[in-house]
Amino acid sequence: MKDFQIQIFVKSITNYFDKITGISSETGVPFLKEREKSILMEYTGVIGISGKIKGAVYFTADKKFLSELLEHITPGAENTNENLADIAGELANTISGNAQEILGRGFHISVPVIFSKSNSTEKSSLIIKASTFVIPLRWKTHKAYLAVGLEKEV
Amino acid sequence: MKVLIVDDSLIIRNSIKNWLVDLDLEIIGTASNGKDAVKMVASEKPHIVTMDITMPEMDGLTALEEILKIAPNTNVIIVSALADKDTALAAIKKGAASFILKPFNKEELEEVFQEIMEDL
Repeated sequence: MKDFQIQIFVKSITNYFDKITGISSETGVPFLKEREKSILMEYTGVIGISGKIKGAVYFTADKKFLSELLEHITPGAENTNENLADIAGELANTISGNAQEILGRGFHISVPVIFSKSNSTEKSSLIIKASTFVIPLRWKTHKAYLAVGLEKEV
Repeated sequence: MKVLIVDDSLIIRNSIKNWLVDLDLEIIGTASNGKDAVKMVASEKPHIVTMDITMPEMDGLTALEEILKIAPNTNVIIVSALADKDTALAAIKKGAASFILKPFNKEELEEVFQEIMEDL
């Protein structure tokens, strides 16, 4: 992946938190994920990418992060597994979809696949042939990761 | 004025519902895919539909076409994260009344609804 591609995702993350919560997120220095090291947290939303560019984008965060985000989006909503997983998937979907503006129509996104740490059956969707770059992010006091693995450069 | 909300995310469906509370609208229901949305339009005849694009079963652009076949006066607002101009243009070409890019907030949603309500 080229630097400008990673920056597209950084911009999408920043825009998401500014607009939805009014509280800015901070992104750290993106790094190349080592294959054997897991960055998965409690909830993960995965978006498959197909078309001219193939790969996946996933957002992973802990319950506390997603609970606070849920409170901003739908105040009073219950912190159920379903709601927290839904937010992780929707966040991955929104950030991936926004990136299409630059990456073009050859960048097709799937509906989200969502899983929690206790459910490992869906983790096969995270097997990406390409190198995966990880963007660390912090919102309020919570941390999360956005991981992007794209097989073809544009 | 009757409204149907269509999105595969429960959180988005609920937030749209909550954010429309200050407008004079009746939320007649929600759907999580295009196929169910088409069925609900046929039976409930909403005036306005908010429609996501990337959904299981039937995507939002296909559902838009199906809805306008059975209820041509329905105002379909596409609500999507897909940010390229071609997607928005394709939606408008197929007959969408408006397009909202995710992420969006209450004010942006209300603005689009008010514009449509003025024309009805």
